[in-house]
Amino acid sequence: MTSGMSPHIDEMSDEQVVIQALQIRDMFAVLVRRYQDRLTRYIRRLGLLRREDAEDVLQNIFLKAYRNLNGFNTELRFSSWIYRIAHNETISFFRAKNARPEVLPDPESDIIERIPADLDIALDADRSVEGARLRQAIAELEPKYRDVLLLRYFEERDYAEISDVLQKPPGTVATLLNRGKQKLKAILQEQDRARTERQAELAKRNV
Amino acid sequence: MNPASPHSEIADKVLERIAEEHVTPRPRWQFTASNVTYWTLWAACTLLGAAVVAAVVFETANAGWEFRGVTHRDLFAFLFQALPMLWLILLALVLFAAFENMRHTQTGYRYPMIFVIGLSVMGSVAVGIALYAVGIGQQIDEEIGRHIPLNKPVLERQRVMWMNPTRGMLAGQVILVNDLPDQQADTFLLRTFDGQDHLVSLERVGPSGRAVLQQFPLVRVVGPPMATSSGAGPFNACFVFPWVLRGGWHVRVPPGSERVLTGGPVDDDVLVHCDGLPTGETIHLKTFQRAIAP
Repeated sequence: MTSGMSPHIDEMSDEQVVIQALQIRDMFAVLVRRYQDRLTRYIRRLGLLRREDAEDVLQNIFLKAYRNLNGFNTELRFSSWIYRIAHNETISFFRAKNARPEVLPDPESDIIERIPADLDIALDADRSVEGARLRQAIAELEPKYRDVLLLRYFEERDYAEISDVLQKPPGTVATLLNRGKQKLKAILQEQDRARTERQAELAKRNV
Repeated sequence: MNPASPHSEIADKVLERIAEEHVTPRPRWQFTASNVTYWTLWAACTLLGAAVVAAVVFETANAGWEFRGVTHRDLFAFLFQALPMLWLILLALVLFAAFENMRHTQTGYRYPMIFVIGLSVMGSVAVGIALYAVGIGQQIDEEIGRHIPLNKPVLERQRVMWMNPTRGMLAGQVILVNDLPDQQADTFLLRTFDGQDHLVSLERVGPSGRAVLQQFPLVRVVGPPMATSSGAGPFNACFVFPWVLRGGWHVRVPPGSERVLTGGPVDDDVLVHCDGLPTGETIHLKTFQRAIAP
Protein backbone atom coordinates (compact mmCIF):
# COMPACT_ATOMS: atom_id res chain seq x y z
CA MET A 1 0.00 0.00 0.00
CA THR A 2 1.01 3.59 -0.38
CA SER A 3 0.08 4.87 3.07
CA GLY A 4 3.71 5.58 3.83
CA MET A 5 4.23 7.66 0.77
CA SER A 6 7.22 9.88 0.60
CA PRO A 7 6.30 13.59 0.69
CA HIS A 8 7.10 14.21 -2.93
CA ILE A 9 4.03 12.23 -4.03
CA ASP A 10 1.81 14.90 -2.52
CA GLU A 11 3.59 17.49 -4.61
CA MET A 12 3.00 15.60 -7.83
CA SER A 13 0.27 16.84 -10.14
CA ASP A 14 -2.66 14.55 -10.89
CA GLU A 15 -1.36 14.12 -14.41
CA GLN A 16 2.03 12.98 -13.11
CA VAL A 17 0.32 10.52 -10.77
CA VAL A 18 -1.67 9.13 -13.70
CA ILE A 19 1.57 8.37 -15.53
CA GLN A 20 2.92 6.69 -12.41
CA ALA A 21 -0.30 4.74 -11.84
CA LEU A 22 -0.03 3.25 -15.31
CA GLN A 23 3.30 1.77 -14.23
CA ILE A 24 2.56 1.00 -10.59
CA ARG A 25 -1.02 0.04 -9.81
CA ASP A 26 -0.89 1.10 -6.16
CA MET A 27 -0.19 4.66 -7.18
CA PHE A 28 -3.80 4.84 -8.26
CA ALA A 29 -4.71 4.97 -4.58
CA VAL A 30 -3.24 8.47 -4.50
CA LEU A 31 -5.82 9.65 -6.99
CA VAL A 32 -8.59 7.87 -5.11
CA ARG A 33 -7.65 9.66 -1.92
CA ARG A 34 -7.40 13.00 -3.62
CA TYR A 35 -10.85 12.79 -5.16
CA GLN A 36 -13.05 10.55 -3.05
CA ASP A 37 -14.40 13.31 -0.79
CA ARG A 38 -15.02 15.75 -3.62
CA LEU A 39 -16.67 13.12 -5.74
CA THR A 40 -18.78 11.86 -2.84
CA ARG A 41 -20.10 15.40 -2.33
CA TYR A 42 -20.65 15.79 -6.04
CA ILE A 43 -22.65 12.58 -6.52
CA ARG A 44 -24.72 13.44 -3.43
CA ARG A 45 -25.45 16.84 -4.91
CA LEU A 46 -26.55 15.09 -8.07
CA GLY A 47 -29.16 13.41 -5.89
CA LEU A 48 -27.59 10.09 -4.95
CA LEU A 49 -28.21 10.17 -1.23
CA ARG A 50 -28.17 6.59 0.07
CA ARG A 51 -24.76 5.98 1.58
CA GLU A 52 -24.44 2.42 0.24
CA ASP A 53 -25.43 3.47 -3.25
CA ALA A 54 -23.06 6.42 -3.16
CA GLU A 55 -20.20 4.18 -2.09
CA ASP A 56 -20.92 1.62 -4.79
CA VAL A 57 -21.07 4.32 -7.42
CA LEU A 58 -17.88 5.89 -6.08
CA GLN A 59 -16.04 2.57 -6.37
CA ASN A 60 -17.37 2.09 -9.88
CA ILE A 61 -16.19 5.58 -10.79
CA PHE A 62 -12.65 4.80 -9.71
CA LEU A 63 -12.67 1.37 -11.35
CA LYS A 64 -13.85 2.91 -14.59
CA ALA A 65 -11.23 5.63 -14.29
CA TYR A 66 -8.52 3.02 -13.79
CA ARG A 67 -9.75 0.93 -16.70
CA ASN A 68 -9.71 3.99 -18.97
CA LEU A 69 -6.58 5.59 -17.60
CA ASN A 70 -4.84 5.36 -20.98
CA GLY A 71 -7.71 7.30 -22.49
CA PHE A 72 -7.13 10.29 -20.25
CA ASN A 73 -6.49 13.19 -22.56
CA THR A 74 -3.67 15.26 -21.11
CA GLU A 75 -5.17 18.37 -22.76
CA LEU A 76 -7.80 18.19 -19.99
CA ARG A 77 -7.40 18.54 -16.28
CA PHE A 78 -7.59 15.21 -14.53
CA SER A 79 -10.28 16.66 -12.26
CA SER A 80 -12.50 17.44 -15.27
CA TRP A 81 -11.99 13.96 -16.62
CA ILE A 82 -12.86 12.17 -13.38
CA TYR A 83 -15.80 14.48 -12.74
CA ARG A 84 -17.08 13.51 -16.18
CA ILE A 85 -16.85 9.83 -15.26
CA ALA A 86 -18.58 10.58 -11.94
CA HIS A 87 -21.37 12.45 -13.67
CA ASN A 88 -21.93 9.73 -16.26
CA GLU A 89 -21.79 6.91 -13.71
CA THR A 90 -24.30 8.66 -11.47
CA ILE A 91 -26.69 9.28 -14.35
CA SER A 92 -26.27 5.64 -15.43
CA PHE A 93 -27.08 4.55 -11.88
CA PHE A 94 -30.33 6.52 -11.91
CA ARG A 95 -31.24 5.08 -15.29
CA ALA A 96 -30.42 1.52 -14.30
CA LYS A 97 -32.47 1.81 -11.12
CA ASN A 98 -35.13 3.84 -12.88
CA ALA A 99 -34.77 6.24 -9.97
CA ARG A 100 -35.01 10.00 -9.68
CA PRO A 101 -32.44 12.23 -8.01
CA GLU A 102 -33.43 13.12 -4.46
CA VAL A 103 -33.38 16.48 -2.75
CA LEU A 104 -30.51 16.94 -0.34
CA PRO A 105 -32.02 16.41 3.12
CA ASP A 106 -29.31 17.86 5.29
CA PRO A 107 -28.76 21.55 4.75
CA GLU A 108 -25.45 22.56 3.32
CA SER A 109 -24.46 25.38 5.58
CA ASP A 110 -23.18 27.57 2.80
CA ILE A 111 -25.89 26.94 0.21
CA ILE A 112 -27.13 30.52 0.40
CA GLU A 113 -23.66 31.96 -0.11
CA ARG A 114 -23.19 29.77 -3.15
CA ILE A 115 -26.25 31.07 -4.95
CA PRO A 116 -25.18 33.83 -7.30
CA ALA A 117 -25.81 37.37 -6.18
CA ASP A 118 -27.03 38.35 -9.63
CA LEU A 119 -30.16 36.25 -9.07
CA ASP A 120 -31.44 39.29 -7.18
CA ILE A 121 -33.92 37.46 -4.98
CA ALA A 122 -35.17 38.45 -1.59
CA LEU A 123 -34.05 35.88 0.97
CA ASP A 124 -35.65 35.24 4.30
CA ALA A 125 -33.62 36.00 7.39
CA ASP A 126 -34.05 32.41 8.54
CA ARG A 127 -31.18 30.64 6.81
CA SER A 128 -32.48 27.13 7.41
CA VAL A 129 -35.82 28.04 5.81
CA GLU A 130 -34.06 29.62 2.86
CA GLY A 131 -31.66 26.69 2.58
CA ALA A 132 -34.56 24.26 2.28
CA ARG A 133 -36.28 26.52 -0.24
CA LEU A 134 -33.18 26.75 -2.40
CA ARG A 135 -32.55 23.03 -2.30
CA GLN A 136 -36.13 22.37 -3.34
CA ALA A 137 -35.86 24.94 -6.14
CA ILE A 138 -32.61 23.46 -7.44
CA ALA A 139 -34.15 19.98 -7.38
CA GLU A 140 -37.05 21.23 -9.49
CA LEU A 141 -34.74 22.42 -12.25
CA GLU A 142 -34.35 20.36 -15.39
CA PRO A 143 -31.19 18.19 -15.12
CA LYS A 144 -29.36 20.13 -17.86
CA TYR A 145 -29.65 23.35 -15.84
CA ARG A 146 -29.10 21.72 -12.48
CA ASP A 147 -25.89 20.01 -13.67
CA VAL A 148 -24.38 23.29 -14.83
CA LEU A 149 -25.42 25.23 -11.72
CA LEU A 150 -24.02 22.53 -9.44
CA LEU A 151 -20.70 22.47 -11.20
CA ARG A 152 -20.42 26.24 -11.36
CA TYR A 153 -21.56 27.27 -7.90
CA PHE A 154 -21.06 24.18 -5.78
CA GLU A 155 -18.03 22.54 -7.39
CA GLU A 156 -16.62 25.93 -8.42
CA ARG A 157 -15.60 24.83 -11.89
CA ASP A 158 -14.93 27.36 -14.62
CA TYR A 159 -16.72 27.28 -18.00
CA ALA A 160 -13.96 25.30 -19.74
CA GLU A 161 -13.98 22.65 -17.02
CA ILE A 162 -17.79 22.40 -17.05
CA SER A 163 -17.55 22.04 -20.81
CA ASP A 164 -15.10 19.15 -20.35
CA VAL A 165 -17.17 17.49 -17.63
CA LEU A 166 -20.52 17.67 -19.41
CA GLN A 167 -19.02 17.40 -22.91
CA LYS A 168 -20.84 20.47 -24.17
CA PRO A 169 -19.35 23.48 -25.96
CA PRO A 170 -18.38 26.35 -23.61
CA GLY A 171 -20.93 28.61 -25.32
CA THR A 172 -23.68 26.13 -24.54
CA VAL A 173 -22.51 25.96 -20.93
CA ALA A 174 -22.78 29.76 -20.66
CA THR A 175 -26.27 29.68 -22.14
CA LEU A 176 -27.42 26.87 -19.85
CA LEU A 177 -25.99 28.67 -16.84
CA ASN A 178 -27.76 31.88 -17.72
CA ARG A 179 -31.07 30.17 -18.38
CA GLY A 180 -30.65 27.98 -15.32
CA LYS A 181 -30.31 31.06 -13.13
CA GLN A 182 -33.40 32.60 -14.70
CA LYS A 183 -35.37 29.42 -14.15
CA LEU A 184 -34.18 29.12 -10.59
CA LYS A 185 -35.25 32.71 -9.98
CA ALA A 186 -38.65 32.00 -11.54
CA ILE A 187 -39.14 28.93 -9.31
CA LEU A 188 -38.22 30.94 -6.22
CA GLN A 189 -40.56 33.76 -7.22
CA GLU A 190 -43.35 31.26 -7.78
CA GLN A 191 -42.68 29.82 -4.32
CA ASP A 192 -42.88 33.37 -2.91
CA ARG A 193 -46.16 34.02 -4.67
CA ALA A 194 -47.66 30.72 -3.43
CA ARG A 195 -46.48 31.47 0.10
CA THR A 196 -48.00 34.97 0.03
CA GLU A 197 -51.30 33.57 -1.22
CA ARG A 198 -51.33 30.95 1.53
CA GLN A 199 -50.62 33.59 4.15
CA ALA A 200 -53.39 35.83 2.80
CA GLU A 201 -55.84 32.93 2.87
CA LEU A 202 -54.91 32.08 6.42
CA ALA A 203 -55.33 35.70 7.43
CA LYS A 204 -58.78 35.79 5.78
CA ARG A 205 -59.83 32.64 7.66
CA ASN A 206 -58.64 34.09 10.95
CA VAL A 207 -60.66 37.25 10.32
CA MET B 1 -2.03 8.76 6.10
CA ASN B 2 -4.04 6.84 8.64
CA PRO B 3 -4.78 3.38 7.25
CA ALA B 4 -8.04 3.17 9.21
CA SER B 5 -9.43 6.43 7.83
CA PRO B 6 -12.32 6.35 5.35
CA HIS B 7 -9.81 7.58 2.76
CA SER B 8 -7.74 4.43 3.06
CA GLU B 9 -10.83 2.29 3.23
CA ILE B 10 -12.18 3.39 -0.12
CA ALA B 11 -8.76 3.35 -1.75
CA ASP B 12 -8.13 -0.16 -0.39
CA LYS B 13 -11.49 -1.39 -1.61
CA VAL B 14 -10.84 0.02 -5.05
CA LEU B 15 -7.40 -1.58 -5.21
CA GLU B 16 -8.84 -4.87 -3.96
CA ARG B 17 -11.50 -4.85 -6.64
CA ILE B 18 -8.92 -3.99 -9.27
CA ALA B 19 -6.94 -7.04 -8.18
CA GLU B 20 -9.93 -9.37 -7.73
CA GLU B 21 -11.62 -8.45 -10.97
CA HIS B 22 -8.29 -8.39 -12.83
CA VAL B 23 -8.96 -4.89 -14.03
CA THR B 24 -6.23 -3.53 -16.24
CA PRO B 25 -6.05 -0.25 -18.10
CA ARG B 26 -7.28 -0.63 -21.66
CA PRO B 27 -4.37 -0.23 -24.06
CA ARG B 28 -3.80 3.25 -25.42
CA TRP B 29 -4.13 2.11 -29.02
CA GLN B 30 -7.81 1.34 -28.46
CA PHE B 31 -8.51 4.96 -27.54
CA THR B 32 -6.41 6.21 -30.42
CA ALA B 33 -8.19 3.85 -32.82
CA SER B 34 -11.58 4.97 -31.56
CA ASN B 35 -10.64 8.62 -32.00
CA VAL B 36 -9.22 8.05 -35.48
CA THR B 37 -12.33 6.05 -36.43
CA TYR B 38 -14.65 8.90 -35.48
CA TRP B 39 -12.57 11.43 -37.39
CA THR B 40 -12.50 9.09 -40.39
CA LEU B 41 -16.26 8.62 -40.21
CA TRP B 42 -16.65 12.40 -40.03
CA ALA B 43 -14.49 12.79 -43.15
CA ALA B 44 -16.41 9.98 -44.88
CA CYS B 45 -19.74 11.62 -44.07
CA THR B 46 -18.44 14.94 -45.35
CA LEU B 47 -17.32 13.26 -48.59
CA LEU B 48 -20.68 11.52 -48.87
CA GLY B 49 -22.23 14.95 -48.36
CA ALA B 50 -20.04 16.21 -51.21
CA ALA B 51 -21.42 13.49 -53.48
CA VAL B 52 -24.95 14.48 -52.52
CA VAL B 53 -24.16 18.16 -53.11
CA ALA B 54 -22.82 17.26 -56.57
CA ALA B 55 -26.12 15.53 -57.34
CA VAL B 56 -28.15 18.42 -55.91
CA VAL B 57 -26.25 20.97 -58.01
CA PHE B 58 -26.62 18.79 -61.11
CA GLU B 59 -30.34 18.37 -60.50
CA THR B 60 -30.81 22.08 -59.88
CA ALA B 61 -28.75 23.15 -62.89
CA ASN B 62 -30.64 20.82 -65.21
CA ALA B 63 -34.11 21.32 -63.79
CA GLY B 64 -35.17 23.41 -66.79
CA TRP B 65 -35.51 26.78 -65.08
CA GLU B 66 -35.59 28.64 -68.39
CA PHE B 67 -38.58 26.60 -69.57
CA ARG B 68 -40.68 26.82 -66.42
CA GLY B 69 -43.14 29.19 -68.15
CA VAL B 70 -43.88 26.39 -70.60
CA THR B 71 -43.62 23.36 -68.35
CA HIS B 72 -45.40 24.54 -65.22
CA ARG B 73 -48.37 26.73 -64.44
CA ASP B 74 -46.52 28.78 -61.79
CA LEU B 75 -43.22 29.05 -59.97
CA PHE B 76 -44.48 27.15 -56.94
CA ALA B 77 -45.48 24.16 -59.07
CA PHE B 78 -42.08 24.27 -60.75
CA LEU B 79 -40.17 24.46 -57.46
CA PHE B 80 -42.24 21.63 -56.00
CA GLN B 81 -41.08 19.39 -58.81
CA ALA B 82 -37.61 20.82 -59.41
CA LEU B 83 -36.25 20.95 -55.87
CA PRO B 84 -34.37 17.71 -55.20
CA MET B 85 -36.07 17.15 -51.84
CA LEU B 86 -34.95 13.56 -51.37
CA TRP B 87 -31.36 14.51 -52.05
CA LEU B 88 -31.67 17.41 -49.62
CA ILE B 89 -33.10 15.11 -46.95
CA LEU B 90 -30.23 12.70 -47.58
CA LEU B 91 -27.80 15.62 -47.28
CA ALA B 92 -29.31 16.61 -43.93
CA LEU B 93 -28.97 13.03 -42.66
CA VAL B 94 -25.37 12.79 -43.80
CA LEU B 95 -24.49 16.12 -42.20
CA PHE B 96 -26.14 15.03 -38.96
CA ALA B 97 -24.09 11.82 -39.05
CA ALA B 98 -20.95 13.92 -39.63
CA PHE B 99 -21.87 16.09 -36.66
CA GLU B 100 -22.44 13.08 -34.41
CA ASN B 101 -19.14 11.51 -35.40
CA MET B 102 -17.19 14.67 -34.71
CA ARG B 103 -18.94 15.06 -31.36
CA HIS B 104 -17.66 11.60 -30.39
CA THR B 105 -14.02 12.43 -31.05
CA GLN B 106 -11.90 13.18 -28.00
CA THR B 107 -12.38 16.94 -28.12
CA GLY B 108 -15.20 17.25 -30.63
CA TYR B 109 -17.75 18.23 -27.98
CA ARG B 110 -15.95 21.55 -27.54
CA TYR B 111 -17.04 22.83 -30.92
CA PRO B 112 -20.46 24.44 -31.23
CA MET B 113 -22.99 22.64 -33.40
CA ILE B 114 -23.06 25.54 -35.85
CA PHE B 115 -19.28 25.28 -36.28
CA VAL B 116 -19.28 21.50 -36.79
CA ILE B 117 -22.22 21.58 -39.20
CA GLY B 118 -20.78 24.66 -40.94
CA LEU B 119 -17.42 22.95 -41.41
CA SER B 120 -19.08 19.84 -42.82
CA VAL B 121 -21.34 21.90 -45.08
CA MET B 122 -18.43 23.97 -46.40
CA GLY B 123 -16.34 20.84 -47.01
CA SER B 124 -19.24 19.09 -48.73
CA VAL B 125 -20.15 22.11 -50.85
CA ALA B 126 -16.56 22.81 -51.95
CA VAL B 127 -15.85 19.19 -52.91
CA GLY B 128 -19.40 18.73 -54.25
CA ILE B 129 -19.08 21.65 -56.66
CA ALA B 130 -15.73 20.29 -57.84
CA LEU B 131 -17.35 16.87 -58.43
CA TYR B 132 -20.21 18.52 -60.31
CA ALA B 133 -17.75 20.49 -62.43
CA VAL B 134 -15.99 17.34 -63.59
CA GLY B 135 -19.28 15.62 -64.41
CA ILE B 136 -19.54 13.26 -61.47
CA GLY B 137 -22.76 14.92 -60.31
CA GLN B 138 -24.54 13.39 -63.27
CA GLN B 139 -23.22 9.93 -62.53
CA ILE B 140 -24.27 10.17 -58.90
CA ASP B 141 -27.69 11.51 -59.83
CA GLU B 142 -28.29 8.76 -62.36
CA GLU B 143 -26.53 5.75 -60.88
CA ILE B 144 -27.51 6.29 -57.26
CA GLY B 145 -30.57 8.46 -57.74
CA ARG B 146 -32.47 5.82 -59.66
CA HIS B 147 -32.20 3.46 -56.67
CA ILE B 148 -33.68 5.96 -54.21
CA PRO B 149 -37.38 5.19 -53.72
CA LEU B 150 -39.79 7.77 -55.16
CA ASN B 151 -36.92 9.48 -56.94
CA LYS B 152 -36.08 9.76 -60.61
CA PRO B 153 -32.89 11.33 -61.99
CA VAL B 154 -33.48 14.83 -63.33
CA LEU B 155 -32.70 13.99 -66.97
CA GLU B 156 -35.12 11.10 -66.89
CA ARG B 157 -37.81 13.41 -65.55
CA GLN B 158 -36.97 15.95 -68.23
CA ARG B 159 -37.09 13.36 -71.00
CA VAL B 160 -40.50 12.11 -69.88
CA MET B 161 -41.81 15.66 -69.48
CA TRP B 162 -40.69 16.66 -72.98
CA MET B 163 -42.10 13.66 -74.86
CA ASN B 164 -45.49 15.27 -74.68
CA PRO B 165 -46.88 16.71 -77.91
CA THR B 166 -50.36 16.94 -76.38
CA ARG B 167 -48.91 19.58 -74.06
CA GLY B 168 -47.01 21.23 -76.92
CA MET B 169 -43.62 19.94 -75.81
CA LEU B 170 -41.22 17.71 -77.69
CA ALA B 171 -37.55 16.95 -77.23
CA GLY B 172 -35.10 14.60 -78.84
CA GLN B 173 -32.47 14.28 -81.49
CA VAL B 174 -32.58 16.09 -84.78
CA ILE B 175 -32.54 13.31 -87.34
CA LEU B 176 -33.01 15.12 -90.59
CA VAL B 177 -33.45 18.73 -91.60
CA ASN B 178 -34.78 19.72 -94.96
CA ASP B 179 -32.85 22.44 -96.85
CA LEU B 180 -30.78 23.29 -93.83
CA PRO B 181 -27.86 25.00 -95.64
CA ASP B 182 -29.89 28.03 -96.66
CA GLN B 183 -31.94 27.99 -93.45
CA GLN B 184 -35.14 27.77 -95.43
CA ALA B 185 -36.17 24.42 -94.04
CA ASP B 186 -39.84 24.02 -93.45
CA THR B 187 -39.75 20.69 -91.62
CA PHE B 188 -37.36 18.48 -89.72
CA LEU B 189 -37.49 15.05 -88.24
CA LEU B 190 -37.13 14.69 -84.49
CA ARG B 191 -36.55 11.39 -82.76
CA THR B 192 -37.83 11.49 -79.18
CA PHE B 193 -36.15 9.58 -76.35
CA ASP B 194 -38.57 6.68 -76.65
CA GLY B 195 -37.44 6.17 -80.26
CA GLN B 196 -40.49 7.67 -81.99
CA ASP B 197 -39.95 9.97 -84.94
CA HIS B 198 -41.98 13.17 -85.21
CA LEU B 199 -42.21 15.46 -88.18
CA VAL B 200 -41.88 19.03 -86.96
CA SER B 201 -42.92 22.05 -88.97
CA LEU B 202 -40.69 25.10 -88.79
CA GLU B 203 -43.03 27.54 -90.49
CA ARG B 204 -43.47 29.68 -87.40
CA VAL B 205 -39.88 29.38 -86.19
CA GLY B 206 -37.56 32.37 -86.55
CA PRO B 207 -33.92 32.36 -87.67
CA SER B 208 -32.53 31.87 -84.17
CA GLY B 209 -34.60 28.74 -83.67
CA ARG B 210 -33.48 27.42 -87.05
CA ALA B 211 -29.87 28.13 -86.15
CA VAL B 212 -30.29 25.93 -83.09
CA LEU B 213 -30.92 22.99 -85.38
CA GLN B 214 -27.56 23.55 -87.01
CA GLN B 215 -25.62 23.84 -83.79
CA PHE B 216 -27.15 21.35 -81.37
CA PRO B 217 -27.84 17.65 -81.76
CA LEU B 218 -30.56 17.57 -79.11
CA VAL B 219 -33.33 20.13 -79.01
CA ARG B 220 -36.54 21.02 -77.22
CA VAL B 221 -39.43 22.18 -79.32
CA VAL B 222 -42.42 24.17 -78.11
CA GLY B 223 -45.59 24.60 -80.08
CA PRO B 224 -49.38 24.43 -79.89
CA PRO B 225 -50.54 21.23 -78.18
CA MET B 226 -51.56 18.45 -80.56
CA ALA B 227 -54.85 16.64 -80.17
CA THR B 228 -53.12 13.26 -79.89
CA SER B 229 -49.54 12.24 -79.24
CA SER B 230 -49.28 10.52 -82.61
CA GLY B 231 -51.63 12.73 -84.49
CA ALA B 232 -51.66 13.17 -88.20
CA GLY B 233 -49.65 16.02 -89.62
CA PRO B 234 -46.55 17.68 -88.35
CA PHE B 235 -45.99 19.17 -84.93
CA ASN B 236 -46.09 22.94 -85.46
CA ALA B 237 -43.06 24.39 -83.69
CA CYS B 238 -43.01 27.95 -82.43
CA PHE B 239 -39.69 27.78 -80.61
CA VAL B 240 -36.67 25.54 -80.84
CA PHE B 241 -34.25 25.48 -77.92
CA PRO B 242 -31.05 23.53 -77.49
CA TRP B 243 -31.02 20.66 -75.01
CA VAL B 244 -28.05 21.81 -73.01
CA LEU B 245 -26.51 19.55 -70.41
CA ARG B 246 -24.93 21.43 -67.51
CA GLY B 247 -22.24 19.74 -65.44
CA GLY B 248 -22.57 16.46 -67.26
CA TRP B 249 -20.65 14.56 -69.87
CA HIS B 250 -23.08 12.08 -71.28
CA VAL B 251 -26.36 12.75 -73.02
CA ARG B 252 -28.47 9.73 -73.72
CA VAL B 253 -29.55 9.82 -77.32
CA PRO B 254 -32.76 8.25 -78.58
CA PRO B 255 -32.51 4.58 -79.50
CA GLY B 256 -31.43 3.90 -83.06
CA SER B 257 -29.71 7.25 -83.52
CA GLU B 258 -26.26 5.73 -83.30
CA ARG B 259 -27.03 3.71 -86.41
CA VAL B 260 -27.62 6.89 -88.39
CA LEU B 261 -24.29 8.32 -87.27
CA THR B 262 -22.19 5.45 -88.58
CA GLY B 263 -21.43 5.09 -92.25
CA GLY B 264 -17.86 5.62 -93.26
CA PRO B 265 -16.20 8.73 -94.67
CA VAL B 266 -18.25 11.83 -95.04
CA ASP B 267 -18.80 13.07 -98.52
CA ASP B 268 -20.53 16.31 -99.39
CA ASP B 269 -22.06 14.71 -102.42
CA VAL B 270 -23.74 11.84 -100.58
CA LEU B 271 -27.39 12.55 -100.15
CA VAL B 272 -29.53 10.93 -97.50
CA HIS B 273 -33.04 9.96 -98.25
CA CYS B 274 -35.62 10.02 -95.53
CA ASP B 275 -38.59 7.72 -95.75
CA GLY B 276 -40.53 9.80 -93.28
CA LEU B 277 -40.50 12.88 -95.47
CA PRO B 278 -42.21 13.52 -98.81
CA THR B 279 -40.46 11.90 -101.73
CA GLY B 280 -37.53 13.77 -103.13
CA GLU B 281 -36.62 15.74 -100.00
CA THR B 282 -32.98 15.08 -99.22
CA ILE B 283 -30.14 16.44 -97.17
CA HIS B 284 -26.38 16.37 -97.52
CA LEU B 285 -24.91 13.81 -95.16
CA LYS B 286 -22.14 16.14 -93.98
CA THR B 287 -24.66 18.83 -93.13
CA PHE B 288 -26.69 16.29 -91.24
CA GLN B 289 -23.66 15.11 -89.26
CA ARG B 290 -22.76 18.67 -88.41
CA ALA B 291 -26.24 19.14 -87.06
CA ILE B 292 -26.02 16.21 -84.71
CA ALA B 293 -22.34 16.52 -83.83
CA PRO B 294 -21.64 17.43 -80.18
